[in-house]
Amino acid sequence: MAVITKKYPYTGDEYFFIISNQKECKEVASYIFNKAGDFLTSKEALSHAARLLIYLTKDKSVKEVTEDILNGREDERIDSILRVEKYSYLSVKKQEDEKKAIPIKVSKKPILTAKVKKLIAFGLAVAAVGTIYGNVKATKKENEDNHQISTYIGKLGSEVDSEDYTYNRNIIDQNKRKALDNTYLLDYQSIAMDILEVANGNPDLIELCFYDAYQNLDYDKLTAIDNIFTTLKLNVRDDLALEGIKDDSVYLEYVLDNAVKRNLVDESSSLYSHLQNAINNYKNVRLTSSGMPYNNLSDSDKASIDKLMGLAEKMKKDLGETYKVLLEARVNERESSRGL
Amino acid sequence: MELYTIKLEDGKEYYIIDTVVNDNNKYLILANDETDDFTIRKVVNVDNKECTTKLDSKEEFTNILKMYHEKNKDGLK
Repeated sequence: MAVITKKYPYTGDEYFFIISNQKECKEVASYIFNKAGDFLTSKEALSHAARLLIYLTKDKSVKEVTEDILNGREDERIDSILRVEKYSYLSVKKQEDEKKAIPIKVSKKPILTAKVKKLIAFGLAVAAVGTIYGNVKATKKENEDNHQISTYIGKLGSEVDSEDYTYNRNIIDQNKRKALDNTYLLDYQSIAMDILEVANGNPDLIELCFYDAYQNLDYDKLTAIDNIFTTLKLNVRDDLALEGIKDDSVYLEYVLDNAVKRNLVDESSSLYSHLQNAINNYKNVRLTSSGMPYNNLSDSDKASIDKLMGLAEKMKKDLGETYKVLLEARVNERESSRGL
Repeated sequence: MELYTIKLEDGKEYYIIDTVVNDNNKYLILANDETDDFTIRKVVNVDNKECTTKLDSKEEFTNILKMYHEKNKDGLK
């Protein structure tokens, strides 16, 4: 999947393109639901959404279609484009205008399985875009949301143009600085949003960015976790990609779950029981006493929490390789698409 | 494989790619692979005959879209 923006010289309109092959269409739909859909909640957002175009690539690759669009050849792909206005708002309006019952006459027709998948994917993308319009009507917080959508789309566009490894590292560094200044609520939001955007929806990268941001702070580990994840609890909408990370103990559970998924901890082992108990005790302490929960834990629970932090570090190292490879691949793809 | 198709008022034949049931109403999720058209129709009973009709409102349309997405979001592996 690729995301680009392009300004047209004659009208000055800026279009926001999502380019995807059919296999990735599920991700496109989720992307829109989880990110854009969450922000497209105002009249201004509607105008952005009207310029949101999704290309489902057919015989060409995502890279080739991206090149077509960047070089003004998008019309060649016009048959595979989903225009928001055509497939959601206007199609609904048309439905309201003309309404009559038609007797059902069904027949059976052979179709390739791959084509069925494509049709379902196609429908999902339309569904995702269509939901944006549902959201447009769902809220009245226009001023706040206008600001958010402008920031979001603008960031997304500039990020796509300038994104490379260094850029991502810089963003993470900025996040560290921001995390040290806990005065402003907006800064908290920026941290979370920047991390999300740098990770570009990739769960592994999100994990890595969080580990990275927390790991390098000059606070003790738990204070750092408090800063970053309290931020998320307060400011990031629950249905963004961080679903489930709502408080510190949830973060600890998140680490444990991932450690199990990566076969670092066996779910039937005594180690798992110790870690889970420590998390439960952490939750109880947090609810029943003031101050940092960690400091009020027993020595054995502290050891378990330390063990969890060690697992987080190990996962960070493992993910680091993936992170680097992914970013390098994206830089190469971008340079290649620019003919560099 | 084979899929059921249905001809709509525009004269085009659409594959029935899925069905969604909400509030005792059945909805057909339809797509045309040649023109990349996508639409939803509600199944209604008129004079004891099953018919399709367009939806009543934008809210209904959006709601069914969401249900369709929920149903299929994990299905495309």
